[in-house]
Formats: sequence, C-alpha cells, structure tokens
Amino acid sequence: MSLFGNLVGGPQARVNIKLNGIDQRIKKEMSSGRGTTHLLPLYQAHEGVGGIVEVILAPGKKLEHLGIKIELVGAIEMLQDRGPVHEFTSLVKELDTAGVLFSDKQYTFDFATVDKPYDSYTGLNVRLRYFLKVTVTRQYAPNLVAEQELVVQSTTQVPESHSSIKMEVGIEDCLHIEFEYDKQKYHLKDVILGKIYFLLVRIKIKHMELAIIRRESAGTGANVMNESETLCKFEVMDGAPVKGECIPLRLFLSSIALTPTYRSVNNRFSVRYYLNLVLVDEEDRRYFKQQEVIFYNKELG
Amino acid sequence: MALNIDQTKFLEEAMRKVKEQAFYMKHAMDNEDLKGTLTHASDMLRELRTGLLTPKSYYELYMKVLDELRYVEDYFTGLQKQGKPVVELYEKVQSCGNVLPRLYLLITVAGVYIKSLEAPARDILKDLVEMSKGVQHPMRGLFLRNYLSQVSRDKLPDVGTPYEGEEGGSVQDAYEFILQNFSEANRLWCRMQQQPTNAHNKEKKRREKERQELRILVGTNLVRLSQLQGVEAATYKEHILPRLLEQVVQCKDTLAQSYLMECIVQVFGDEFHIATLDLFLAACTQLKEKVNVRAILEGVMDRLATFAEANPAAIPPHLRTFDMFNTCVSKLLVERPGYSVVEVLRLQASLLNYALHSFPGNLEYLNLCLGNCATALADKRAAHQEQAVIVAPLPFALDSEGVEVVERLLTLPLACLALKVLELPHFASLLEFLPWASRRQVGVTLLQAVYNSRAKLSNLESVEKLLEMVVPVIKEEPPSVLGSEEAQALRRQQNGERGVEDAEEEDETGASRSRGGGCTGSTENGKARRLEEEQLLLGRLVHVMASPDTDMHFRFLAVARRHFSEAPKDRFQYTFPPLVLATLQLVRRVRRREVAAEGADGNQEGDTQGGRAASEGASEQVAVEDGNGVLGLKKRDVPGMQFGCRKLFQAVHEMLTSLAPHFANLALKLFLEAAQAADRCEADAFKLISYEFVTQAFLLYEDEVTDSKTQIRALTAMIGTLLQARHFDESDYDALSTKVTQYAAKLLKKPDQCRMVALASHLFFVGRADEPGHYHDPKRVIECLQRSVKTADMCMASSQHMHLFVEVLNHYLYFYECGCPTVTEKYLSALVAFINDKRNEAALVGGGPAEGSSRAAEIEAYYKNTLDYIRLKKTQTDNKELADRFSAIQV
Repeated sequence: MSLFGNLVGGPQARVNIKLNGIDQRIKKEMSSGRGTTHLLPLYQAHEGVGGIVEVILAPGKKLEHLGIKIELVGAIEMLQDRGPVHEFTSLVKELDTAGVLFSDKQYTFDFATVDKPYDSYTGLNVRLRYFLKVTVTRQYAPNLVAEQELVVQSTTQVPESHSSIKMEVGIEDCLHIEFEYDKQKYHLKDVILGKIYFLLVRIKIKHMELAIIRRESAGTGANVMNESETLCKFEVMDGAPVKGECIPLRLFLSSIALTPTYRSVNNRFSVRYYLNLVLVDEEDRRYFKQQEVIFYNKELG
Repeated sequence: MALNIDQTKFLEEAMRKVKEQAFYMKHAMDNEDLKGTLTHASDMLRELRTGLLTPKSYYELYMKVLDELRYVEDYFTGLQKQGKPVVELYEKVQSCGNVLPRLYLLITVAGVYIKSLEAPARDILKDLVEMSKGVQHPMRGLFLRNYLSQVSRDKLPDVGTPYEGEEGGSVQDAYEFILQNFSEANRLWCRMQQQPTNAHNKEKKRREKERQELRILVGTNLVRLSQLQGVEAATYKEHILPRLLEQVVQCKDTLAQSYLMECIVQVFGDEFHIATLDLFLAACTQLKEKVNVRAILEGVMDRLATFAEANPAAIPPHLRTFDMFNTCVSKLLVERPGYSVVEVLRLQASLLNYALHSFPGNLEYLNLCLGNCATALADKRAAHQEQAVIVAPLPFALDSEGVEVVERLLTLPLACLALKVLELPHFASLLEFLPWASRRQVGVTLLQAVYNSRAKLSNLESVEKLLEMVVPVIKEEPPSVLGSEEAQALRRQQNGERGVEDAEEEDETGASRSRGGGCTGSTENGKARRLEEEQLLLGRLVHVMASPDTDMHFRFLAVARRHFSEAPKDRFQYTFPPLVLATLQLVRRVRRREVAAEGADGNQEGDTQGGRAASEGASEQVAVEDGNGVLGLKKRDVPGMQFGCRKLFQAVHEMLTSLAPHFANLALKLFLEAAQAADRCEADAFKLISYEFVTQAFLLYEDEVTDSKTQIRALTAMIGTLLQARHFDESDYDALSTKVTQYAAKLLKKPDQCRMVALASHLFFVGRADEPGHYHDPKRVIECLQRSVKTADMCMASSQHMHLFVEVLNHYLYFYECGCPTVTEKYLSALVAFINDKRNEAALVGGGPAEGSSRAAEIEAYYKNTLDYIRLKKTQTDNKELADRFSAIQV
C-alpha cells in the first residue's frame, strides 16, 4: 500500500473490457498509424460485439459514480492535421445508473446489430478505426475510461465476372506493346498472371517492371489530401526484347501488404490500387502505363 | 589492355560479393532461416545481373555462382525431406523482386520439385522454359537457359525415367521442352549480332568473337536432344529435325547457321542422318549466302562415309545418297550464281571425295563430278574469252586456289583408282585446265598410284592415254603462243604462291640474291633431284606395260619411246635405259617364239641349233640391203608375228644412237648389253647385230670416253661382254679382242695398263679345249702377261707396285692351272723370285718404314695367300697331274 496512494486518491478502480470468445477470435496486426502495430481482434461487419465490462475496485475502496456507459465508435481521423475526428458510428449503452460500488462488478454488453459499414484502415493520411469505450463518470474525480480497439473486415463475394485487362499502348514509331492481366479484380492472396507482347520496339529497353501503387485520397472539400505509395516493384524483364516477343508475368500478391480497394468511404477517403507497367530504356527514361485493379478480401486475415 | 584490367577488377569485385553473400546464405541455412537464405541467395544471384563482364569473365562468375547454388539445392532438398511442400518454396522464391535471381532460384527449386515427384515434370518444365523469357538480355539469357538445361538434364520425362508417366509427361514433352529452350537460346544468341551498333567494324568483330565464345551454350541443347533415350529415328525425322532446321533457316544468321548445322551433323547418330538426309540437304540449300555449306556437306559426307565403311549394310541401297548430295550441290549452284568457280570446284571435290569413300569403284560418280568441274571451267573460260577480246589479251588461267583445287580433284581419285582413271573421260579434260607445273604434279601422283596399285597396262589405248596424261612429266612446257612478255606475266599469275616454282622464279629475278649462294644452290639441287625422281618414276612406267602378245608389247614400247623422245635430251638418261632393257627383255620372248617357229621349219630344213658352229645355210636368214635398217638384215616373219627380234634390235639401236651423243657411257654400257642380248639369240644372223653393237660401243669408247676411271670401267665391261659372247665369227672376235687389248695398252696410267692388259689376256683363252666355241690363242696370252709384268715393273713409284706383281702372278697362276701351254712354270718361278727380290729390296731400303701400314700388310697377306695356294696345289692329291705341274714351280 502506497503512502501517497491515499493522499492523491490513487486509482480507486480499474475498468476492463473482456470480449466474448476473444481467444478464439482471429487477430489481425494493425498499424496504429504511428509506426506501432497491435494485434487486434477481428470482426466482420455483421457480427455483434459483446462482452463483459469489469470494474475492479482497489481493496477497501468504494467507487462513487454518476453512471457507467459503453460506446462502440467507428471513426475516421486524419492523421496529419489533427482535425476533428469524424464518428460515423457511435452507439451508447448505459451499463449502470449513478450510484456507489462497494465491490467489483461486471456488466455484460452486446452490440448485436450495430452497423459497421467500413473496414478498418490505416493509411498515410487517414485512419478508420472502431473501438469500444467504457466511461465511468464521476463527479469530482476524472472519469475512469477504458478502450478496446477492434478490427473490422468484411469479405466480398468472389466477383462473378473474370474479365481480363487487355490493352495496347505505345508511342508512335517507337514502342508498341500490348499487355494483358488475367483479371480486373484480385483478392489479396491472389496471383496476377499476365503477358506483355512487344509489337514494336525501337528503343533500347533495359528492363521492365510492374509496380503496385496505392493511391489514397482523404479529406473533404478543399482539404483533400492525395498520396501515392509504391508498394512493390517487381522486375518482369531483363534486357531488350525484340518485336514479337511475349514476356510472361506472374506476381504473388500474398507477400505484399495490400488492403482491399475502398471507394469513397463515408465520403471521407478512398484507397485505390494501380498496376503500373514501367519500361526503362538505356537512358533511364521511363515509359509506363497505369491500370487500376480492384483488390478485395476473399477471406479474413 | 585497359579493358583487361577493368575486366579483372570487375570480376574480382563480383566474385568477392558472391562469396560474401554465399557465406551469409550458408549461415542462414545453418540457422534454418529460410527467409534469410533466400534473401542472401538473391543478393548473390544479383551479381549475375552485371553488364560489365565479357562472356569469358561472366562464365567464370557463373560457374562460381553455380557452385553456390548447389548448396541451395541441397538445402531445399533437405527441407523437402523434412516434409515441407516444395510448392511453397516454389511460390516463395518468386517474390524476389529481380527477374534474374528469381529465375535462377525458381529453376533451382524446380529441380528439387521435379525430383520429389510432388508435381508433374512436364508442367514444371513448361513453366520454367516459359518464365525464362523474362530474361531478354542475350548473354544473361543464354547463361540462364544453360542453367535450365543443366538442371533439367536428368529430370526430363524421358523413357525409363521416374518422371515419365501419365502426368509427368512423355519423351515428347522432353523434346518439346528442349526444342523450345533451344530455339529461345538461339534467338538470344542471334540477337547479339543484330543489336544495333555504330557499325564499327572493330565492334562487330568483337561481338562476333564473343558470340563464338558463347555458342556452346546453344549447342548444348542439341546434345541434350541427342541424349534422349526415347527418341527414335522416326520421331527425329518427323518432329525434331524439321523444327531444328526451321529454326536454323529462319534465324537468318550466318554464324548460327554454320555452327548449328555442324552441330546437328556431329551430335546426332548416323542412323538418324541416313533417315533424314533429304531434309537436311534441303535445308542446306536455304542457308545464308555466306554460310560455308561445303563444310557442312563435308561433315555429313564424312560421317556417312565412315559409317558406310564400318557398316556396309547399314545404308539401304535404294537411298541413293550420292544422287542426293549431287542434287543438293546442283541446287546450291543454281541458287547461288555468285559462287566463285573455285567454290564450285571445291564443292565438287567434296562430292568426289564422298563418292570415292562410299562407292569405291563407281566411276560414273567420279566422272560426273569431274565433268561438272570441266563444264564449270569451260563456262568460265568462255566467259573470260568473250571478255578478253575487249579487255585483256591474257588467256584464261585459274588462280592459285583454283589450281590447288583442281589438282586435288584430280589427285584424290588416283590413290584408289590408279589406272582406272583412264576410264574417266573427264579426267583428261579437266587436266587441261591446269598449268603445266600442276599437271606435272598430277602426272607424278598418277604414276605413283599406278605403281602402288601394281596394275599393268595391257592395251594400247590406255598406254597412249596414260602417256598423254603424263606429258608434263615428260616434256617441258611448250613455249606459249603468246609473246614472251605476256607468257611470263601469265606464268607469274598462274604460279602465284606456289612453292617450288616461286622459288625458281625468284632466283631468276635476282630478288633473292641476298639470301646467298648456298640457298640458291640448294634450290638448284632440289630442282635437279626432283627432276631425277620424276624421270625415274617415268622410266618405271615401261615396266608396267605388259602384254602377252609380243607385237603388242613392242607397240607399247614404241609409243613410250615416241613420247620419251620428245623430252629434252638430258632426260633420256633416265627414260631410255628402261626402254632399252625392256626391249632387250622382250627380245628373249620374241626369240623364243622365233626359235619355236624355226624349230617347226627346221623339221623340214634341218637343225638350226648350235650357235657359231651351226651352219648358216640351214637358217632362213638372208642378208638384204635394207635401205633404212642399220643392221641391214631382214628376216622372214614368223607367221602371226609382226615384230621380230631384228626389228627390236633395230629399235634398240636407234634409241642408243640417239642416246649416245649425250650419254656416251650409258650408251656404251647399253650397247654392250644389247650385244650380249643379240649374242644370246644364238643364231648366226645375230652375230652381225652383236658385232655392230660392240662396234658402236668401241666407237663410243674411242670418241667419247676420256676419263681414265671411266675408261677402266668401260674396258672391264667390254672385256666382260666379249668373254660372255660365244657366237662371234672367229675373225670378228679376233679383231674385237685385239682392239680391246690395244685400248688397254694405251691407257694413260701404268698401273691401269698393267691391270687391264692382264685382264685382256683372258680374251685369248676362252673356254676349255673340249668345249664348243672355245677360243685359244696362247701366244697372245703370254704376250699380254709379259707386257703386264713389264708395265708393273715400270710402276716403281706407285704404291701399288708390289700389289700389281701379285695380281699378275695370280693371272699367271690362272692360266697355268687352265693349262695354257705358253704359260710355263719357268715364268711362275721367275716371277715369284722376282717378287721376293723386290720385297727384300723394299725391306732394305725402307725397313718397312711408314709403309708398314695396313696397306703393306694387305699386300703381304695377298702374296702369302697366293703362295699358300701354290703350295696347296702342290700337295693336292685328287688331281695328280695338276699337283705335278705345280710342283714344278719354285717358291
């Protein structure tokens, strides 16, 4: 027992959130956007979030409070400008009315039908996160607060159409290529298969690579921030091909840190992916063609 | 130089990095850190992305990396054995960001994958060969594909391997894989040359050299194909070769076409070639202009010829390989009008060589080739002459290369055909295109081949033909129809760089004077020696001619003589003696026939046998004044025989008469030979002939033989001949022997006189008294001997003094033993006593001074032996009479 504990008031109580079936739940590593990562429980959009809130009193103490509530919040926050957090979802449940606790107490909660329309996401400028927040309101002392972050992920049905991307591009009298990616939509563990046909080659090509670019645009109105990020560079060809050459492409996506494509999440941000085919000539000039692809989640994880 | 230094530097640096990364990689392996292993392996492989190294240095680096990759393979194998699915590894290595390291790793894993049988070999191989397209840089791509070829070598779904099967694939998949890898490799290889450059010649050359260094990387694929067990000739014909040839033809690259065609020839089995000869030859005609198709064809021909020699039954006769080659060559010539005539000739030479080896004895083929050449040359000449009217007055001449090829064309069949070349009508026509010196060379080879073949010339036509062909050996080149200046220019043009001729030419111009006399002399010697060898060779030809019919044989000799007579006279010495001797040999055969015929006649007209003593009247010979016959004799012909001995002797006489002015000694000897031959004919009619020959010999002796030593040799021969001859009339013999004795007495040197006179003494005591045809003139004998002793006595100064006495003593002894009445024991005793005196004298004077050398000892021994002989005879008991007579001699 600390001498000062009593004087300062010390923590009279701790609050814990225990989620139901937490041990069995899939955990996903999630970046907090500031270089740290946490393993967090993963929920699907339609899943209810339930559990127990424990209020544990310090021995021999009592806890006087004005009420205990639990919130489930879905929020989008801009990472750079510390602006207001936009909560697109916020559900509150009263766990207890004002009173005094003389011993530890547990409250069950269950957000059974809560709306979790978006996936958790941490990008360069924007973060979308879900968390549970328990607040024990007190009159004189600061409130007791506990938070538990969740990861929400939704899976998409395998798209029915498997149309490929096929495109002929070129610079007149200089370079003509036709490339083909086998699909437009790839799930995150997919393999991109493709072919690049060289129809005309009049430049000395040094090599060719395929890059996956993530373009994130966040914010509203005049404050939209666009950010591009090259997630991987994959050399597809070494040396100069001649006319008629056909170069195969095969890229396994599983080793790349991708997220699904997000289009206008709550009108606050979008995340899009592009395949960028780059040809570099001997003078290091780059010839490229970007092509959007859709990534989606086929399974959790 | 700078390049080399840079190369060393670059290579060292790359090697160092490879070693470093390999070290980390192995460390990671030991820690069972797959991720680390792959990272370091990739980093190591990244060194192969360099563009700084020449093929040679790159190869070194590549080998080093391959060594390290073996550890990776072992590591992967270990993981697989532990139960890790290889497919995971297969996927994992593909996340490498750079294509080159990725593919090396992929191929390495693939090897383990196929071996584990966890996936069908066919699919993996297809994937690899396809993915390898990611490397389009020619050199790096070639090495990568070589690695692929190497790794997959023992993992192909060939017949009898564990990889073969429903899923794993069949041999078809195996060869499809290799074919594809081959064609990709070849494309990369060809591309090296096509890369645009600033068209510097040097740069182009360097690139070509680099390509040469890399060619094995392409050729390996062909080797792999040939190693497939499951490929039968039919498969090869239908599925493999057409694809290869298509690739070769389509790549339109000279270097590649040359190399790959050669590879195909070398790598695949003979049975395959036989099955696909038509395909292959068809492709040969479609190659680039600069490709040396001849070399390729020669390669196939060599293989087939060797194979056919080893397995004569292996090539089905309906497969007319020669025709196929011939068609191919003809087609080639049609499609490539730009071929120089030399190239045309070379092609034909190859064809001819093939015919020779594969179809020995097929003259038709050979004639065809030679005919083609003759036609080509004739066309060329026609074109040249057309032009020459306007431009240059020079006649058509082959350049030195052309000469060489034609020479080879003509020489090649000789060794195997020898005389049969006479049956090739085009042989002679082709020969005409050669300059004189080359024709001579061919002629010499022809002669040698004829001798080696031991064939005989037995009909007049071939004799004529053969002699016609070797005319350049017989004669000097006839002066050109052109002015001398032009002819010289032409000769120079023809000779070009041709060895001996050139050297001679230089000697004349004096350009080589600085080389010094010795050298020039040796060239002269060389020339003389060569001439002598050639002429001796030519002379041997006489002995190759043979016919059972003496008339025909004589005609052969007559033809040869006609040809030989056209040669410069100094060559008679080589060619005439064989002719003469052959004629004399023929005389024996003819004489036998004559005797047989005479014998038949003799039944009616009496015996003709009996030599000198036989009656002249019995024979049929009539002395006739023959206008042109030197011998002035004519004999009635033996029925069915045109040329009798007389005719033959006449021919010999003519030959020797033409030889005599230039080679007196030789002619003299031959005259004596002829005399003996005539004498052997044992008929009176020939006595005169024999006498005539001896007379000619004597005349030559008188007029031409001046050198003492030669005189002695000639005299000895003359004496010998006379001793042999038994059929002379006594008066003739008398005259001749007297003449010889006189010659002997007139010799310059006393010792010579002494010896020769002693020798001549034998002429007067020939045969035993009871022998027919003996001739005894004892008086002359003792005259000669006495003369010899006197002469010997005059030779005081000569060191041979004593020797001569002993020699003469021996002659005395001979006659004494033979019972010559004039040679009595008195002479012998006196001579012995005289010799003894001389010996004592010599001993007193010199005390056997310096003379006591081996020579003196020799004489002593000689003398002692002679005395011993006398003593022996004295005691001889079996011939009492002789012993008695010898006892009378006082020793």
